[in-house]
Amino acid sequence: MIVRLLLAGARHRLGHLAVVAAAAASAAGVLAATAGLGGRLAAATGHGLGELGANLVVRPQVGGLVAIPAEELARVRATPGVEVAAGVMELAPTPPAAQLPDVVADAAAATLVLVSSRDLLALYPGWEVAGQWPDAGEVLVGRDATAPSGLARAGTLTTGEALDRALLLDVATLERAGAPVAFQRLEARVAPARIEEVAAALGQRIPGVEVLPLRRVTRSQQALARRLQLLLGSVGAVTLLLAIATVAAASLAQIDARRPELALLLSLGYSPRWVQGWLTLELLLAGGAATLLGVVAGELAAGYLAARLLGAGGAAGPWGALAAVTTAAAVLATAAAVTSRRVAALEPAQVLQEGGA
Amino acid sequence: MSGSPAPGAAPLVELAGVSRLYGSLRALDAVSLAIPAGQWLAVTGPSGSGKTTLLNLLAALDRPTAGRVRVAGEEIAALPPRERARYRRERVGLVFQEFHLLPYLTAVENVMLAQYVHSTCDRQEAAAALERVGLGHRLDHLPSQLSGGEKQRLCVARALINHPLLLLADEPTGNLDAANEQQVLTLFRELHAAGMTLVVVTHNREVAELADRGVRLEHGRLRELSRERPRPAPRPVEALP
Repeated sequence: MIVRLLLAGARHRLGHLAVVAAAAASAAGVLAATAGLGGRLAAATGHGLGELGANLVVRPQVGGLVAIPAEELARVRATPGVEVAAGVMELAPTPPAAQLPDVVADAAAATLVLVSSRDLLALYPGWEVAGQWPDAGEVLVGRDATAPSGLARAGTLTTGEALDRALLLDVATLERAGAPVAFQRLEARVAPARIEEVAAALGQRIPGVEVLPLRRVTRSQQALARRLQLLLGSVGAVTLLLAIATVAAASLAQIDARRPELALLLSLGYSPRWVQGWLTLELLLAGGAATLLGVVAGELAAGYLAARLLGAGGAAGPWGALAAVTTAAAVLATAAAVTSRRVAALEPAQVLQEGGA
Repeated sequence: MSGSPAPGAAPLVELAGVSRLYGSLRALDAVSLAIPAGQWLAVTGPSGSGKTTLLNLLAALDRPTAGRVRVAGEEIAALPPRERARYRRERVGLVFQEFHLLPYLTAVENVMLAQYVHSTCDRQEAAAALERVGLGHRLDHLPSQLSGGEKQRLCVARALINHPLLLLADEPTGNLDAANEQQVLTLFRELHAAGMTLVVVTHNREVAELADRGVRLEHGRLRELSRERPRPAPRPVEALP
């Protein structure tokens, strides 16, 4: 009987249920879209920061260390907040560096760069490597440089920067030659929110160096992301309030239109709680189906907008769906509360006397 | 003021000093009334005299401001909402002047709606109830497809489906033409003959005169009318229309 009541009643009240469904679907859709876009924006911002490369450099202080000992790199890597770090030593290739007398490079290669490890590539994900990171005795040749004699070519590096004219070697080559390893600088990428804390910690741990956080880049990226997320959050909040107001108003209008019907049920012996449950079930069925549609539409919209605004669609995270479901729950809970209060206040004797049904 | 219950039998309905105030308006004023089981009571009076208020109190759709309302030994004025709902579905059947049928349910489903809240839906039993009021050919018709008299007989079938102790009817013929009025009154006569206790609020003199007993409400005060007839010996329930 309850199924028959729901089906027949729903057919009788298509207009009202359509308003509830439309409001729930719109709210869920907009919230899914804004949350999905926000998540993609955060990911894109992190990716953008990553593409900028290191955001913290440690180098010898004037009057301090001449070079940074290799073991200090391990201390930097172990510092909380440091995501990736690499040590860099630059040598002039011509005439052959004293540390690597067997390596003779072409004069066109301005710099011979020795790097602690392949972590440099993790620091600069925008660089392209054709081939592989050099082992001991191998070299990664800049796109515009000529491979030196005495070292095997591991691959070609394209950076779009000065390093295109450099030769990159792993410090293992230096170690094999028996030369001491010390770096001219350490480059690191640090979680943007912790950059000040990490810089201060490293300044204390490694005496004789200066720590240079690239604050301006980090801050401007973060500020932009924050502003966009604030904008999205505001859109979501306004949508939520509008949806709650719309569904609450539609529910009140529905109860007013159905007063004779509800009064009849109460006069037949249905309890107010049963009637409230019945109306809530109606709302849940209409709103639940609409929420599903909203989630799907919102996720599609988030992907489309991310592709148009950020240049990449990105993966759909759980936040969009979670936001949509939470929104729909808030909207429907409000509607159910409004409905329940109205039913509790209904005076069946008075309504039946007014006529209707 | 009280009726005349059979010697030794407790009345089915007892009102003692019942008043109902709406703000400063006194809809019922210290009304006392006893209705024996099986009696057909007609309540008459001008508009606004408190007739429907009295019916609402008996149906537990309203609460008295003062006094006691006892039905079948149960003090209904003091019941919490859930128990009042239980009382309505188990003890009383309601017939309204405006019918109050759900327009999107068929005739048999409107009867089953009352069945559902009481126990369980039994389409055959609901169909049999409609057969008894002469609507066996209208089971699957919507209320909009029924005449006024048919709607009222559907109301009666719905009111009786849970075998109530008390049938309360508010102007049951108020919206009917003469032919349909006769059909409904015939139905009431047969119910009364079968032992059903009826309280019928009416403006209609003919309807009032069919009752065993008449009371008149004026400005919320109850006055017993002189006429009181002994009720006929009840027929077996199976003989109901």
